[in-house]
Amino acid sequence: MNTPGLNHFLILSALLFCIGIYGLLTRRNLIAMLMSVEIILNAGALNFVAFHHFRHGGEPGGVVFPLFIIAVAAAEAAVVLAILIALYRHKKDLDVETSDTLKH
Amino acid sequence: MMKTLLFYLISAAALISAGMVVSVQNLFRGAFALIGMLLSVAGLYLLMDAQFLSAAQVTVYIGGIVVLIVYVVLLLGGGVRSSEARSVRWRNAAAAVLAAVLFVALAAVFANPDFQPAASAKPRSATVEEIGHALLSPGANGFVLPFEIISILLVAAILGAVSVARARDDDV
Amino acid sequence: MSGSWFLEHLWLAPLFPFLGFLIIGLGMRNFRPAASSTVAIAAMLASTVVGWGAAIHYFQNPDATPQIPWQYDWLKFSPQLIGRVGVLVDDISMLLVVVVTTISTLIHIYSQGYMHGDKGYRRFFACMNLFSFSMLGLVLSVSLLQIFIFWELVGISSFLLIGYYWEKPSAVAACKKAFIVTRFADLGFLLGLMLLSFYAGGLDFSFLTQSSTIQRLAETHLPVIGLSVLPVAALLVYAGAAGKSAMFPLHIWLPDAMEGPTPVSALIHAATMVVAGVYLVARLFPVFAAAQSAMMVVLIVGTFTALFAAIIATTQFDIKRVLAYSTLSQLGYMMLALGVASWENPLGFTASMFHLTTHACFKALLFLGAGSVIHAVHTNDMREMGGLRHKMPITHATFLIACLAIAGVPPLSGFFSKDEILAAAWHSGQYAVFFIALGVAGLTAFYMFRLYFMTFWSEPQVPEKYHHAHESPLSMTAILAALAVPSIFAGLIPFGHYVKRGELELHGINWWIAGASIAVGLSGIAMAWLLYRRPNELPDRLAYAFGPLHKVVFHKFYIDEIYLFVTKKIIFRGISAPFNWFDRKCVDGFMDLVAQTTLRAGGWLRKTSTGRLQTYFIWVLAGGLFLGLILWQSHPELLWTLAFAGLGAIVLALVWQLALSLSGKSEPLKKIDRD
Repeated sequence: MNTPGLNHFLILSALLFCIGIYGLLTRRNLIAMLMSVEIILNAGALNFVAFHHFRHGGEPGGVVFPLFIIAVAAAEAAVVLAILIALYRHKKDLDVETSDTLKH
Repeated sequence: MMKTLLFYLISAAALISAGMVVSVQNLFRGAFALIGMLLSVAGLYLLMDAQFLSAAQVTVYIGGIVVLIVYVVLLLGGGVRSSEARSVRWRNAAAAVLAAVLFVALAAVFANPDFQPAASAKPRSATVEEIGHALLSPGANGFVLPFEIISILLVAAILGAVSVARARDDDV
Repeated sequence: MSGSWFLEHLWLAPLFPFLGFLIIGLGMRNFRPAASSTVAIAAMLASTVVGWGAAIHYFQNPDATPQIPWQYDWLKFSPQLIGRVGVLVDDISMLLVVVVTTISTLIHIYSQGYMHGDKGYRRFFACMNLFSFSMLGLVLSVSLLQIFIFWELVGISSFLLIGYYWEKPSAVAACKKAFIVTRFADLGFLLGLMLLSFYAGGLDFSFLTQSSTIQRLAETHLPVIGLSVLPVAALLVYAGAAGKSAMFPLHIWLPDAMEGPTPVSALIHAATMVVAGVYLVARLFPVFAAAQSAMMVVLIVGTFTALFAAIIATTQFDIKRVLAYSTLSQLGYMMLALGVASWENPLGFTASMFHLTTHACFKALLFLGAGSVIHAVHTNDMREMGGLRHKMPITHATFLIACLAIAGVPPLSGFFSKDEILAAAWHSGQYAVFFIALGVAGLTAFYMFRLYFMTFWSEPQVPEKYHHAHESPLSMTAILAALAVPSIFAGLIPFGHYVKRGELELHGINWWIAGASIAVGLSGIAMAWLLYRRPNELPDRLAYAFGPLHKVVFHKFYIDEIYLFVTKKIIFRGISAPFNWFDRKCVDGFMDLVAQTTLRAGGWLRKTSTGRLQTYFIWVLAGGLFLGLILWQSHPELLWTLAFAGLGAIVLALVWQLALSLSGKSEPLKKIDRD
């Protein structure tokens, strides 16, 4: 095998991304959905860093942006978890299937 | 060669842990699997000479976000009280198919050999100094504005989370 | 103003009553009723002045030729075929203008007294003005299109006036009957009009009566049937005329039209509207003269109607019914006269127009007199009258004059016009027609004097009615007297001098024919005198003797019953019912099908709205992938596939729904409100 190049990292990130998508569409527990979202975000950041490392090493943006991704993920997780707490107080469960009041 | 081996090992670890995150029922195990995945990704960052990022990943992501998740799992008991069984098999199958199709599409794009840089160019990542300069520079290549805005965002997120999650008088 | 001013402004004649209609109908609700009649009469007077002015100018001028003082190209179907409206001035239109305006004005004045105190007074005068406008427009028509329009307008006016007492169901039925029968006849008229417009290429009377046009029409043949266009078109147009002029078998509406107020019967159903059919045939005389078969139909139908109606008139007891059948009979005479006319022997044309004029005068007088009588005794039934000559002298005198006129007693007007018709029939060689016409003359005298004697002589049959009877007010009796004048003297006008077609040789009176007509007239009067002057049993014994024959005639030959049978059993059950079934089951069913399918499709699509977050994610992802695929590789075939799939889904849904409906399994179908 040759040294892992850009394509390998990209395909890996695509794989992680798709696993995250699957988890997002499939899990019933809201916290599990949140964790799948984190996988997706990480896949995206990995993509950034891969491109940066192999092609645009001179641009610090390739690392700064994933930093920002991490920061935003943190903020988002905090807010989402707060919402989940409020939701749980109301409904006593975290099943996404029971939140279907937009049903026809 | 070492790199190759490491790459495949760490990749496998990442993929397996991600797979566990999306499949295990017990949320604790899911959270730990998530830690595993994040560590793997941090390892990958190291393989790509992005040390600072890898450190940040471990500190913030694992040390902050996953800890928060674990707190909430402890707090809420991770209850999935599914009263009525709903037919989700078709939906799960569709999700799997779609995810697979998506992967095929993305892979088709990413397998493009033109992405690979010329053999002469040596892959490198930005140094901490460069990152620091970038974070605090205004102008075209500077990220001081997003940096400041993200701090505001974080404050807003804290305030929002607190205000949403705090106990009300009418709640138990 | 010089005479030519009247000719040039002849369009004012229909305009005045039209304005009267608008003003009275729209504006005079809160005015006193008398104001409406004043406006109406003023409008008619103005119209009469214009009409007379134009007519005098036209007839005084020895070189007068048919002219069109005003015309407008209204509908341009093609550069050659233009529907025009305008004012046509020639001998018969001027004649009719005089007749219509004069008689209408007189009857308007009479109605002031007759309709006094009636609740719908204003409506009456508005409709009377509307009618006058329509009739004048008809008479002055320049083209077939215009005459058709005014034809229908006249029909509507008649409808409104017959149904004047709309609270009476019989009146409502009568006005509906009149309108439907004439409308049905107008179908023929319209077909004839379309044929003529197509094959002749024009609709103007001046164009249609040219020999070149007629020649061309005669030589053109219809595609499938192979008949020549000329007689077919003429007969179709005649169908309309037969309806309006109540020829057999389209006569059924006229007796029922007596439900309207008596002035209406006088104006519309005696003097003016019913002659519109005769007028139309006269207008198109060159066309009919060239189409022998059509002219023969006119002749036969007219003769038959004259005889048929006269026979029925001898048995009726309602005074207005007798007069209605009398009108039918006289209209038959007018058509008969036209039917025997030809270019070689055009006397019939003049005779018809002559009789039209004299008939208008004495028939209006008869009706108005009958109205006076009805007003006095509050009944139409002659069996409740009697001896009224003592109580109503003026009515009696004028009525007698009119009866003598219609019986053809010289030197009153009816004698001259009837004699001319008989002469025309004789000289045309149609001897059968002549003898029938002669017989009808005798019958006419008989039933008219039967009416006269039963009403004014004999003994009062119902004492209270006789006791309360009194002469009518001046507004009514003055008109009776006014109409008596032309009934006496109109015969002395040398008609052939003014109104003719072709070359007319004026012979003077043929004393054989005149003698024959006088003889039958007098014998008719004598019969009536014998039977009805004093109350006796002779009429009843005669009726008994004739037994079933009398019964058939009394029931008007059961024509109405036949019509009803055909309509209900044949048309309604045989034709209307299947159509109704088709409309309800198939047409409505199809609409319901579409609606049902939409509902079902909607219900099915509704299920995509699950409210579940992850379902929505899946749709987003799938859609995004699909679009990406299309954009990336640019596969337009995929879009076509999608479109066809969509269409297929719709068709499938329709078929599915149809299957469900047919098997009766779809409940929402029953919930759809059909009304």
